[in-house]
Amino acid sequence: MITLREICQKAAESELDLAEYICFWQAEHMGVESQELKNRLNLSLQVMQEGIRAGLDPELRSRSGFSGGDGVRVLSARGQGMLGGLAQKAMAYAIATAELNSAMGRIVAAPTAGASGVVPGVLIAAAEEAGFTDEQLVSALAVAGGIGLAISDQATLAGAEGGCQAECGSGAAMAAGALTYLRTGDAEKLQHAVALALKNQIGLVCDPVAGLVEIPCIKRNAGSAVIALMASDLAVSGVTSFIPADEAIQAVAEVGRMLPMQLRETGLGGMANTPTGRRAAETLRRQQLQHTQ
Amino acid sequence: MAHIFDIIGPIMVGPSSSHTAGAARIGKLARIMLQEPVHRAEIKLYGSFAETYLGHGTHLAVLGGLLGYDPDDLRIRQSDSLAREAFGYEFVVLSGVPVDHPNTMRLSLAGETNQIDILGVSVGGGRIRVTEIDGFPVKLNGENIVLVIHSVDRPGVITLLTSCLASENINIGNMTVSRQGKGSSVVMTIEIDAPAEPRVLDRVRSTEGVQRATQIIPL
Repeated sequence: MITLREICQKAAESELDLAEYICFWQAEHMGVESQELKNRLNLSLQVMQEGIRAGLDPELRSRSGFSGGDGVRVLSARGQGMLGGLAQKAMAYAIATAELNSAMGRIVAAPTAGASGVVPGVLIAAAEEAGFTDEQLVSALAVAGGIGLAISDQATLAGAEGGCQAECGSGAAMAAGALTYLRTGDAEKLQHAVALALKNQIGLVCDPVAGLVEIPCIKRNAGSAVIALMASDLAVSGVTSFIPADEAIQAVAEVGRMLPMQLRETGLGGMANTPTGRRAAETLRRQQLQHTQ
Repeated sequence: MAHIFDIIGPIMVGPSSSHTAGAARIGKLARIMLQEPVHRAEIKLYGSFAETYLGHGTHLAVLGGLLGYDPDDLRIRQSDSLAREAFGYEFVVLSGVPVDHPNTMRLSLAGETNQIDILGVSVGGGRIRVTEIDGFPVKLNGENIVLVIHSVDRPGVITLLTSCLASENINIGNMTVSRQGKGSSVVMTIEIDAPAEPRVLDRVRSTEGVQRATQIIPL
C-alpha cells in the first residue's frame, strides 16, 4: 500500500526534494527518463492553462445548455467579494475549467474529469498571484500526483465507488498539499494540509443531475478550491490535523463503502433527486428520445 | 499499479472519463481491429451509456474513435457530421436491457473487406476492456501489444504460431485461447513484448490454419 507518509519518508531518505523524488520514483516505475516524465507533466500544465483561457469564454455553454459563463462572471466580480483576490481567482478558474469540461472542451482529468477544475484553479491562480514559475508548477503537479497515488491506493478516486469526496475531495487534498509544498517545502505541513482538506470534504456524496458531469459538479469545484486554500493556509500557519493524512484517506474510503448506491454517481439521490433536478433530467430524457428517433 | 498519469490525466475532451474518453478509446480500438476504414457501423448502447449518451457526448466520442481520433482530439465535438461524410452509422439505444457492466457498447463494423463485432466496456478513468470479439470471449485493454488471431480449431495451430514467433525472437507475455465449441474456430490473443514488423505479421497470417491476424498497439 502506498501511503503519503511513506512517500515523504522515502523522499527524505533519498535526500531529494519531494517533487524530484516523486518524478524519479514514477519514472522508474514507468520505465522512462525523469525528464520525459517532467515534459509530460509540463504538457498537462499547458492544457490546464489553455483550459482556463478557453473556459472563461462568456459564450461557452455545456451540451445540456444548463451551464456556462459562470467562470468569467466570478472573475469579473473580483475585488467586490468577501474572499480575497486569490481565492476568487481560484474559484473562477476552477469553475471555468469545469464548465469547459461540461462543454466537451479539452481538460486534464486530475484526478478526474468531474473534479478537473480544483487543481488547476488553485495552483494557477496561486502562481499568478504569488509569482510561482511554470517549473515550480510542474513540481507541484508531481506532488499532487503523489498525493493522488496515495489516495487512489488506500481509497478510490471514482465517484461511482466513493462519492464526490473521492473526486472533489481528492482534488482538494491534492491542491492543498501541492500548494503547501510550493509555499513551504515542508513535508509535515503538506500532510497536515491534505488531512485538513479531507476533513472538510469527507462524506460528500456524488449526486449528478440526470447522471451528467455538470450539476452540482461545476460549483463543487469552486468550493473544493476554496477548501484547498483554507487547508493550506491553516497548515502553513502551523495548525496541525489531529488525524494524520493517511488515516484521513482511509476514513474517506470507509465512508465511501458506507454510501448507498443512490449517492454514488447514479443520479438517483441528493441534488439529482430534488424536484428541479428530476425536471431537468426529464427535459434531457425527452431531448435524447428525440435525438434517438 | 497506477502511475502518476492515471492521477494527472488523461488529457481528454470532457465531460466524462468513462462516458466520453472511454467511449472514444473503445471506438479507436475497434477501428484498429477492423484494420481498414469503417464503411458501415452499428453501435448498440447499453446501461448508463444508453441513459446518458446525449449529455455525455458518448455517441460523438465513439464516432471520433471510429475515425481514429484520440480521446483528447477536439474534432470529437463535430464527429457526428465528420463521420457522416466518411461512413454510414446507426445507433441502437437499449435502455433497461440487463448487462454485466453499466457502461457497455457493442460495435458491429464493416469495412471494404473485413467485418468485426466487438463488445466494449468502459471501466472508469478512461480505461476500457474489450470482452468479446465476434462472439468469442476475450480480455483486451488497449494498453499492451497484442496479436489477435482468428484461426481454425485444429491440433497444432498454436504450436505453429508460437514457433513462428519464437523463430522471430518475439517473446510472449500472455496468451489466451477462446473458442465456440470444439472443432470450429478460435480467437487467440497473444501479448508480446515489442511490436511485430509487417514482415512478421505476414508470416503469422500465412501460418497454416490462421484466418486473420491483427496487431494491436497500445492506444
